[in-house]
Amino acid sequence: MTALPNTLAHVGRSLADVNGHDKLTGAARYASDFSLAGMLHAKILRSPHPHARIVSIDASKALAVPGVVGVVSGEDLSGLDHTYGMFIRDQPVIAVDKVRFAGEPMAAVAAETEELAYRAIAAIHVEYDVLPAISCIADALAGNAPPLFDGRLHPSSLQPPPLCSSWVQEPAPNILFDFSYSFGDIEALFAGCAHISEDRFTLARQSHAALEPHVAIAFASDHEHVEVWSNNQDPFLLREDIARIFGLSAENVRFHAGLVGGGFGSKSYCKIEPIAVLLARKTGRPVRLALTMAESMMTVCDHPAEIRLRTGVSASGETVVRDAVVELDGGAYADASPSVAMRMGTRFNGPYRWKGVRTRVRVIRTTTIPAGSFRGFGMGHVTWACESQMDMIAGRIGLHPAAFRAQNFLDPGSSGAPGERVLDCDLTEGFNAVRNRIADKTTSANTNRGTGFAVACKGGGSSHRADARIDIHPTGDVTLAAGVTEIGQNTRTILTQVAAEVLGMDTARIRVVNIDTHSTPFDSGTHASNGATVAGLAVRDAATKAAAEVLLFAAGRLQCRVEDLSFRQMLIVHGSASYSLSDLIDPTMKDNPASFSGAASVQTPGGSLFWMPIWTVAEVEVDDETGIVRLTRLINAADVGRAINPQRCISQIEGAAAQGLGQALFEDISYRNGQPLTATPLTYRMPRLADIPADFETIILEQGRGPGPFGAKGVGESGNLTIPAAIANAIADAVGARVMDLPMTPDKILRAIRAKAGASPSGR
Amino acid sequence: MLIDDHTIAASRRRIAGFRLHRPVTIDEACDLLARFSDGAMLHAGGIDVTNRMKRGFLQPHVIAVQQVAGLSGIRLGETEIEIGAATRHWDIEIDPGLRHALPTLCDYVAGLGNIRIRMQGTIGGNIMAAEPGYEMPAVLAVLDAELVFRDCATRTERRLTVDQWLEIRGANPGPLLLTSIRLPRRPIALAWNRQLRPALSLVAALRHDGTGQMRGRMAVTGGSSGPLIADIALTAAGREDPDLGLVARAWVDRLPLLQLPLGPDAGYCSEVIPILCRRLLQTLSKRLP
Amino acid sequence: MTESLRIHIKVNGRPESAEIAPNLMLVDFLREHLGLQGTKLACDQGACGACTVLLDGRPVTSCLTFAFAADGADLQTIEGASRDNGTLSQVQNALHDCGVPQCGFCTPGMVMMMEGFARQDPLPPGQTLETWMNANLCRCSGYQGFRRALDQLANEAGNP
Repeated sequence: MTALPNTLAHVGRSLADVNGHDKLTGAARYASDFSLAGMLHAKILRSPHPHARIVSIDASKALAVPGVVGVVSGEDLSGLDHTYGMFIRDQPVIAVDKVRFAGEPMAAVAAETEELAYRAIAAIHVEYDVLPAISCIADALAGNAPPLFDGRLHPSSLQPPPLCSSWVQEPAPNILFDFSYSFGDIEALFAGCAHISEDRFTLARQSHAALEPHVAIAFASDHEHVEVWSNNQDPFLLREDIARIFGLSAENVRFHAGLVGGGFGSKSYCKIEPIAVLLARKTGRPVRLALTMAESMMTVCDHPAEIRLRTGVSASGETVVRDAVVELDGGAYADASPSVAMRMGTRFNGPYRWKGVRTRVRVIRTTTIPAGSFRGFGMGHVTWACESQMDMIAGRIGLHPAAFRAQNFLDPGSSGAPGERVLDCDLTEGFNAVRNRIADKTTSANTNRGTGFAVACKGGGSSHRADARIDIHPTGDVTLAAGVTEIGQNTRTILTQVAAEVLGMDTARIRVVNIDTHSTPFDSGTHASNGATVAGLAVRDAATKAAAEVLLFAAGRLQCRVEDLSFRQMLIVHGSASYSLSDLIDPTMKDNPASFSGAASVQTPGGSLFWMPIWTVAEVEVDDETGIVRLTRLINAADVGRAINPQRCISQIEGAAAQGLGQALFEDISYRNGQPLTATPLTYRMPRLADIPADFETIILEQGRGPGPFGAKGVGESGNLTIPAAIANAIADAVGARVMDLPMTPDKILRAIRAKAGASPSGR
Repeated sequence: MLIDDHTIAASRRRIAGFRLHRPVTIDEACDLLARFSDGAMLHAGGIDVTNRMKRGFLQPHVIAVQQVAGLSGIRLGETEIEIGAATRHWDIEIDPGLRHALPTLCDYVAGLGNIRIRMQGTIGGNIMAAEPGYEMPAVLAVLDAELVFRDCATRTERRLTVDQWLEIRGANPGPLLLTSIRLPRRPIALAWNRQLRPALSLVAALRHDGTGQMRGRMAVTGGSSGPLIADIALTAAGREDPDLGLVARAWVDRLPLLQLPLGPDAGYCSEVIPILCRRLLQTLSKRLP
Repeated sequence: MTESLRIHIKVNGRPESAEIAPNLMLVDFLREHLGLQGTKLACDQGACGACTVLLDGRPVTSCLTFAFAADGADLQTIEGASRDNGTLSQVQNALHDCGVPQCGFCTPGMVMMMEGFARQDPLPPGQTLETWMNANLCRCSGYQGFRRALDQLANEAGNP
């Protein structure tokens, strides 16, 4: 790691996870471990058809099962504002009139036990009028595709488009969203280019596959109040959703969140919570709705996509102009797709200089699992296409792919597009960090080994609000409350270190509390690598204010000026004397505070608050007779601004890289006849220990320009972005064959090898 | 096939109550199987049977055979090795006698599934589960094993080769209790390729037949109808590389087209299987002195 | 048709006896009957290993094991993995030092897999803890923290 000089006591140290002991001993408690007295158990009946009209639902036999307390279906939604979605609210809480993907919730049952709930849903009789399925983008855009919706616009809360862009909501049947972005005189720029490359790339359907499935426990004590315990990443957003859907005051909706067993975007925004609330309100009893992992995999996934890139470069290899046309398969419902389309639509410039970039991203509706937010929010898509094409262009114009990249990197402090935040990192330094690591590569005659690079730069921290509160107790203990959810990114540990640094105290005496929306400070959601940076700033400010409260009180007790006091190690220092907090609490006085509190709120503007760059080199060995590829080496470098906790930074990048490796080589929920074939933990292939190369290195750079506390920036979403392109580039380097469709399974690699053998040797 | 019906999630909570029977002798187990025939499931290690129950395949009776005397354990005879059907994979891996007599089988078993599966799952369960991708039938076929069944209707013993079993298993062969697996005890080389698992895995065995020829069998696992198995024969001259490619090609041409339930298409399989077979033959012919 | 049966299991050294239904899964017996919620239920199909416990010293998937099948067995769960005085075991310490727990949902199963390996005797040739741990899924880590912990344990074994 290239580290900043560190004179800090806690920041920059690899403190172990503050909940680590509990997680290692089994004492840690998650929402799926939570129960309430008298709780009912819910199960969901799902549609077997990808597309059908619901003719009738007969739940009488389900209600007759002893122990069944309530059944809900689409008709229970009448009178409610019954749809949800991040920007476009098109997804019904439970299917109404129609089903639009195999696995869509049709009805739900609450019973005394889960076993009885299962028996009851099996007894529900549904009559369907089956309609044709739309399994992929091409099917949806075909002239004879059946419309999924009736053509009316859905309610939306879309924000005005960012600079240089425009959008249209639901412009045509089966098109959810059409986003355009442009700067520069595109066609004139292409006309001046020496080389123009046009290539098409595709991505498959990746599943988040977090280990803890979605769970929600809801209780409605009366018709006006709801309390929910869930593992959603966004308890404060959920509070608003539940209030809106059920016509409640947000103050009367209370969400609780504790430790979450993995997210990666799957537990962002509204998911299953309204079904649990619906059953709780219907039965008057607490209801626990716990999905299985297979059900979670059918709740949300990432977007399959087709990306066509037309890229022009000058005779000397300068990147000049790019035109990107993207179709995202958004599945049956909007979820976060419009937001993903907007984010990726403004980022096709990547880490390079351009005179013009034009993008069109359309979200297409299909009868498949709704696609939503996934680690990287579309930047993985952008990077797969752009960084693959960078190598292809380099090959066509006779430059080394590393040199081609290096000559076009944006300079630190410059802006890649109109209105875009200036670059707060040094791309060349980072690139050299990984390039230099492979300088020792033996370029032996063993030709089937290859090396590939990829670079990406994702923005983070935009339009986010994070609040925090610090309470210093007279005992010397500190309570830290912030609304960021602990989903495995170890945010609680990071925030603890920030508070300890500001307060000059032992981390062991800081306790981070679970989230309760009635008392925990607001947070607009655990997304976009915000936790350490934005919540970190709020914690820093809250701790500063709480310490000031201590000194103000101490100055009063000691009859001195605040400026003459300092606060370290929970001691108030006055000249040569020092006092503990309890020393200053005079039991005879009435004005003793219960604790010294500091609260702070940080609101970030739109656009990226910081850049998360990632530089990757992959080495592979390809069996050119079978197309079997072995990843032999993987090196990532990332700039984290300042590593508050180097170990946690490394863990984030390693974990993301493993997800990128899975996406590169095998992860895919594939469909046949409208049915998902691999949407179960047994059939969905994801990385195991043996898939990870023994030579797997992560380099943390501290380039010192982060906007977060002590110069930190986010790191959670960078490590996966570059892996597929780096591997594709390495395969091309090894055997000269280019795979442009993810995942790069052996059959595709072998086909590419065969195609190269039969074709002229153009392009790498 | 492990493809779920998406209407109702697979779950342990979907397993309705059943009547549990825990016989302790083979005769008792047989009685129960004959009595309940179609209404009973056999439970040994329990992995596949439980996953199947979670997906909604339920029977009113479950016959747990783990405590049946004589159904598990490994016996080494002069000419034959006998492995009880309810022997767990792990116990095959660690058996010192078997490791001495047929070490490559121990190593092969050590690569099945994962350690949790091998600790719990049994050799008989692997065969009787009839799941595509399960490798035990293939390795037993190439080792010329016999499956020993007790026909619970007639109370007689039936010995079937793996090939015979694969042929009749789909046609309701009646209440059969797999009691043991018998393998000839003789020098034999075994090699396998699992690089494309779970879609595809290959195993081959080769031995001297005493007439100057090398004979054996090769099997491909992955198709839903069970492993594809055929004999191979090599002359001493056939050890040379180009010929092994031809032998592999000819061997593959005798197989029906493999259609995989998941993963790569038939075209890829038909290209790659001969290559992997050739490599197995190369390994085997080197391994056999 | 369903009738209950009585089972006797030693759980973390403590004898337990219970009247159970035949369809009760071991993971539910632990989590609901005994209140031992440290064992996590994730995939419910035997794929991920989060629910791994040691049955007579052997790592098994408690979501694929009926409670009746554990009758008479000696069972170890994550609650019994720490030392008697409540401090972390050598395995847990190595994981702690190497920054392993991220979301922590796979952690109990991983710990039990490692504890199980330490208890195996005999161990056939070629079996390594790394190959054992290939059975269990972690979606947060990329497994490098586990590898670092394995190295640390190997070093400790080499320098007692």
